Amino acid sequence: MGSPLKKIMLCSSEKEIFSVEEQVMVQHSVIINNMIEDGSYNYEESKIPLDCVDSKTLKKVIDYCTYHTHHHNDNQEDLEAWDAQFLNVDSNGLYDLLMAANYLEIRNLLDLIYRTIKNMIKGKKIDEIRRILNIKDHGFTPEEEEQNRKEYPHFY
Amino acid sequence: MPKQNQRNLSGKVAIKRTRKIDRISSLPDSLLCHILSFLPTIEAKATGILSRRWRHLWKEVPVLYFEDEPFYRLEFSDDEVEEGFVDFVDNVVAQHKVPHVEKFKLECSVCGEDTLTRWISSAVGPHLKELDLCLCIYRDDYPETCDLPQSVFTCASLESLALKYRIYLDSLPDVCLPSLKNLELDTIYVNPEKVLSGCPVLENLKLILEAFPLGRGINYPAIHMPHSLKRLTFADKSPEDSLKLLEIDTPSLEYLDIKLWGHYLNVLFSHFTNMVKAQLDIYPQDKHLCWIPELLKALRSTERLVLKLDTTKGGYFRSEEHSEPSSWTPPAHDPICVTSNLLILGFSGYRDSADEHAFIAYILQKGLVLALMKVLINGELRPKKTYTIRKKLSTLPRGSKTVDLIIK
Repeated sequence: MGSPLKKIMLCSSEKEIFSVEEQVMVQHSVIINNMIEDGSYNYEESKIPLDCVDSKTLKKVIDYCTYHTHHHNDNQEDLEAWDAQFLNVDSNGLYDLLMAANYLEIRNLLDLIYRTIKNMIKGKKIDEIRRILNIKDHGFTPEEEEQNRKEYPHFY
Repeated sequence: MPKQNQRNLSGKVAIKRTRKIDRISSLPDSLLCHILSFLPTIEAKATGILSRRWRHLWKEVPVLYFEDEPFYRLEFSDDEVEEGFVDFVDNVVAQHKVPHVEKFKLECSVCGEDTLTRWISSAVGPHLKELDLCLCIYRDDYPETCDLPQSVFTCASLESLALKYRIYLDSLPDVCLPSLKNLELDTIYVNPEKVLSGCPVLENLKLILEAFPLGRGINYPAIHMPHSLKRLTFADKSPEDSLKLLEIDTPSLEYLDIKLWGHYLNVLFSHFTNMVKAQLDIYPQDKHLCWIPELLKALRSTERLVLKLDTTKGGYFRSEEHSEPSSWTPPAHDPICVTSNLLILGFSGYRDSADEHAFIAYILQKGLVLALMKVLINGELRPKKTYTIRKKLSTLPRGSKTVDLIIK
């Protein structure tokens, strides 16, 4: 665990530098925690290159980690309300966040995104889910599609 | 992407996305499986009809989550529901391709013990991390015992275990759960002491002791909470005087929520120096009162303290009439727990004795972060007296500008 006021530098895919409290990232990201712990981060020179995370997404990820570091004692409802507002993005934004959280191994953010996507498809009809997931060609033969229809009539 | 696309003249980053298309469908299978793992298996399986790619995806999800609720239809008899549910589960288990499930959740009140035991036994393996059972087990000789497979209680990889609803665990085997961090026990009968003694690294415990419905009483005299606990939710609805000793020697505890009758003969606890939030809802009974003030002392450094109604009631204040001189003296130094931690205080059975008045006045004045003070006036007092009390209390000086004072 690093000292609370130390800063580390994160570098987005557009080479924009973000300076973040070390503690905030160490607490949330398994990858960054490992880098700090094994000493591979040099405070004078290093910036952590995140080539697959763009600035907009990185800023959001940092916002998430910062908020959850400083508000972890808030009551559950307040946190959930904040999370819901935080994830009020279009599905491209959600995809970018998911890939970033997956890359940085931020487990609670990953879980939050998985749940959000789950809620987007839960209880919906098949056409709706296909539209949400952008499945244009399902690839089934007419016979198979007929069989699916028979097996899951309430999804159609 | 050509370099000139990446920066515009002001140097500001402007990556052009050629076309905004939805990309969730381009996620790798492993991430899609993760999303499916949050759905009940019946819904995860149904995603097999989305497209050819999704067809077999559900079979790779290391989570099985069965509930019989969707199988209940108005026109179905219990037998038909059972048949439909058993067929579904057996069919899924046969098609599922993950050799070892990591998470198994079963909510069922329609199947017999043999079927349930068979499913649970097949789920318990060297990779199982989470087991969540919400069952009502019917047996011919109910309610003698209904045993879960012994392997549940010796599963070395298990990190989370929840046993809920009408599971009656009378004859438990020796419990050995060396990895268990989260435990929820909310069943009609279980000896918690026996389970807890086999959980050396437990961090989160939710323990609900039910009032045993068949009047046979409980046969465990003591509960020792594991030393390693960080979060404890404990509600005791069991009948009076059944439990003699409650030990909460858990110095790392950060969160405490207890709701119980204060009938324990003996309660032992450590000093909770790491407590972040504590919520007490204790109904005191005169004969064993002494441990409640001691518990409050042990919670001194709690960051957020909530005392529900009745917790502070009882024989603490001796003089009944206001005319008697107050024997309660405020502490020489104002405790930090009162000045900066106490958020909510309930006080019931208020009779306006000198002591009680002095106490309420003290808390109202010194509680700088107090958000809510609720005083319930003893119902035996005459309305006129009640009115006077209300008037008197509402004019007391307050240390917190935002405190909400409710007097009933």
